[in-house]
Amino acid sequence: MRAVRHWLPPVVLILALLGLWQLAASSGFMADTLDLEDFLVPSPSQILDVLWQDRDLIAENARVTLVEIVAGFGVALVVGLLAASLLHLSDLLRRTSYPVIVASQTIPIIVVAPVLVVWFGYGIGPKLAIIALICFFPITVNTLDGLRSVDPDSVKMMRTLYASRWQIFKRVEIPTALPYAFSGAKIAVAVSVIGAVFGEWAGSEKGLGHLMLQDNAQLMTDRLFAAVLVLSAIAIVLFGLIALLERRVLRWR
Amino acid sequence: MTASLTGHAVGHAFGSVTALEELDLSVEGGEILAVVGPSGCGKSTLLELICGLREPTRGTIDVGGREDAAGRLERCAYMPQTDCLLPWYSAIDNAGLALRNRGLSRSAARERSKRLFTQFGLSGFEDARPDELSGGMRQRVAFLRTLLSEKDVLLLDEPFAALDAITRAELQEWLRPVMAAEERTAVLVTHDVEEALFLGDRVAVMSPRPGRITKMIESPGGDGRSRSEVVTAPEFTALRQRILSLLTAAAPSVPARTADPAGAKP
Repeated sequence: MRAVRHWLPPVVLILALLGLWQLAASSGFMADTLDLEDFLVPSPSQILDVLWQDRDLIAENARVTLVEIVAGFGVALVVGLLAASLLHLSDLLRRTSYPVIVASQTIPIIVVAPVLVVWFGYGIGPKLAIIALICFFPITVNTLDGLRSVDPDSVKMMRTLYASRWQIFKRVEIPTALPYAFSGAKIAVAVSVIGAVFGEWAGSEKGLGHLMLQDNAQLMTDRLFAAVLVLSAIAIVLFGLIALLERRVLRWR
Repeated sequence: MTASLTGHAVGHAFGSVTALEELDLSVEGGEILAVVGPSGCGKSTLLELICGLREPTRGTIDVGGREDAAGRLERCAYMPQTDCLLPWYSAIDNAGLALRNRGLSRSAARERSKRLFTQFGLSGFEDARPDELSGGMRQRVAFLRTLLSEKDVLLLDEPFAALDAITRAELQEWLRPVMAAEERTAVLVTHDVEEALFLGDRVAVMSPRPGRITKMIESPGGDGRSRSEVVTAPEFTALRQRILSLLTAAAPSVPARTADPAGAKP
């Protein structure tokens, strides 16, 4: 009952919007207003239709993109957590490399992506690099903030209770930082799909981003929307998995 | 023989602010020294200096024959103002932190903590999360954690300041026999003059910043009487009045505090 009350408003809103879209598209109203051919303005039912018809093609491309996202996110997670720990433990390192880390986020990915393809070829390498580059920033910054938000009294208490630097890190600082790290991971996974599409646009032979480019060129707008739908679904499911893990790990909250 | 504690001409400055100046201090092994003083007189700093979390900018502190910070840290356990219970550990795992830090396994640490848990009236709450405990229980777990460090010197920084008056009185009554049985050296910093006189063997009165000890007063002692009997005895109330007037004379800017019979509260 509570679940129904919780989920009802967003579901109603989404259904209402889809209904409006369906009406506007299938009546020809949207195409007329925009002065376009009907097939360029697909209705939700047409999108679902093509999603079902081309399910093998879309699934094959989705699998490629999913592997890129999971691998890129995984690299970012390992590098981000490690970087945050090192930056936390060394003042010198933090002062020297923090500006570099911030600067890495000012790189316009769209511009750099083709260069990476020139360097590393059409394989998974450049996509992985782009996704990791986007994802590691929120993970690193959030985790570092978490590590630095530790209650100084708790550290003093631990120091008088025989704790070594490592024990303080393990028993006080890491648990304090965990909720922050999870927030960072959730932001990262949401933006990771954008990184995957950029990477594929710069040069690829497979993947949802690649499919979108093709669909766009062939004016297959309905399949383009279907690919976007699948991409969103991937992001939502990955986000949900992290939120689920967070609930299981952070039992004390 | 538990460690004794002396400070000689201790001074400490944070930048241009002098927190402590020319402070002399001597606590015998097994003695409980209560320290009272106005807010900001450097009471908490004094505890951090004693246990070696800080080095004094002037003077020396000796804890059980060691003057270096590492040596002092080895001998002192510190109980901060807030209970600092870690929410990701159960009550009994919080209590056994010192044991875990010394390399005991979780089960061995629990085994060792278990007996004191019962003795402290916490049995049945071993696996409770800290936020499931009452304020008084949290404070008892925090004290137990300090005690289980098995160190000679306990430094208690306003351990009951965050509690309501009734719980505070209960815990004071509870702590006294516990400390008497433990035979450890302790320095108890407090705002509460009554608490200082009731729990301390002696009471050190500090001046406003820069803090130094201006007066040492012997506590009347309890002789097994209840807290309410002790604190209402004429000798006790007279001493309390004397300390309060010492504090207010030193800090004329807060005259309202004189009317507060329970002592200044934050």
